[in-house]
Amino acid sequence: MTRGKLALTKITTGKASRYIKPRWLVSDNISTEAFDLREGTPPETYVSHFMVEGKDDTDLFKSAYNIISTKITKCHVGTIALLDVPETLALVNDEEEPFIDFIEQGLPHCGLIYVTRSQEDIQEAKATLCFLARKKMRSARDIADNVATTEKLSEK
Amino acid sequence: MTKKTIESSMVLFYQIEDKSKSSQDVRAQKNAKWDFFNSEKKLSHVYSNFEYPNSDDFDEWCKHVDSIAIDFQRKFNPTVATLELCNISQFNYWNDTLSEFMDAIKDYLEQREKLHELSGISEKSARRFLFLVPVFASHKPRVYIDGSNGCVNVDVMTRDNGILSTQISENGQVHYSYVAQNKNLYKITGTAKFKDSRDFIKFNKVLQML
Repeated sequence: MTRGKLALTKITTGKASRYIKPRWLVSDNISTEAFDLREGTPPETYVSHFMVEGKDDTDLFKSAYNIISTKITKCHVGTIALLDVPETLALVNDEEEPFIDFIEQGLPHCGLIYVTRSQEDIQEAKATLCFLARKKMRSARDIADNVATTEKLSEK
Repeated sequence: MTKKTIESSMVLFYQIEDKSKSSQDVRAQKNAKWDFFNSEKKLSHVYSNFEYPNSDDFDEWCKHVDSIAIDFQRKFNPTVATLELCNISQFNYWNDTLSEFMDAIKDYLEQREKLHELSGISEKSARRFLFLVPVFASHKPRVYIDGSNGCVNVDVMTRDNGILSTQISENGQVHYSYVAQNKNLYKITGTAKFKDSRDFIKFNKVLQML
């Protein structure tokens, strides 16, 4: 099940955000389904992420929300998770051959691809991704409220 | 009771309360379990009997699963639901997991109507998952279908805040990875291989590490 045969530019720095649907969230834990290839039009070769920028977590989540809310209607019902790309690559790819890569898909859009054929490795990668993603996640509604408050304050 | 026994019995009590159901049958089962607990059997024996099905019930369950036709070509295979009618005393404890599986199937088939490129549900994987239902039942599993190969995936969140991710393949293999944190992140990854459906009960060897 090789999912990444595209020769695209790899991303090795920065922060990537992922939209987490409500059904992927179980008691503050993210199901590995969140990193399953399922959505989008064919050929489905990557898990969509969006690169974000900001000086702190609040900025990063706002940046993520501003992008994701233009792509996903009703995104406020879900959650947004942040992954530090270098940390994620280091902790997931801890063997000689990598399990995953992040590749550019027309920035800020980027794709997480599985570059291993081993199902064992894919299970491990998905479990590790969930473990890391849940460390930094916020309800999209809370971020939206924060964005709205900031905008109101800046208007005054 | 020794301190260790008392601690362990608290775990057992929690598990029983957690699975509380209102029917008289379930209450009767609970009482039977308490009687069993009060006997002087070794703790490890008690624990394994609370957590997992006994071998006879499991074999009976496998017969039921073997006897049904599984076909997901149509909207939903109603024969899977007939498993609920099985007459196994422990079944009430497994029913939630079976319902979780049926919800996952319905959800996936709905998505597949919109995204035709999603793989069809693997009936072999589904049957193997059904064998495992009693084994996963006490772990509150989350079930979904992998969109790339149609196999059943099961997530289990563990008491130490870890994640067990499994995929039940078509050929009797169960790929699993357990990721948690101690001093640093650690991972236990592997593949369990079963050649006889009645041996799937031994996947509890993996789940016991959680």
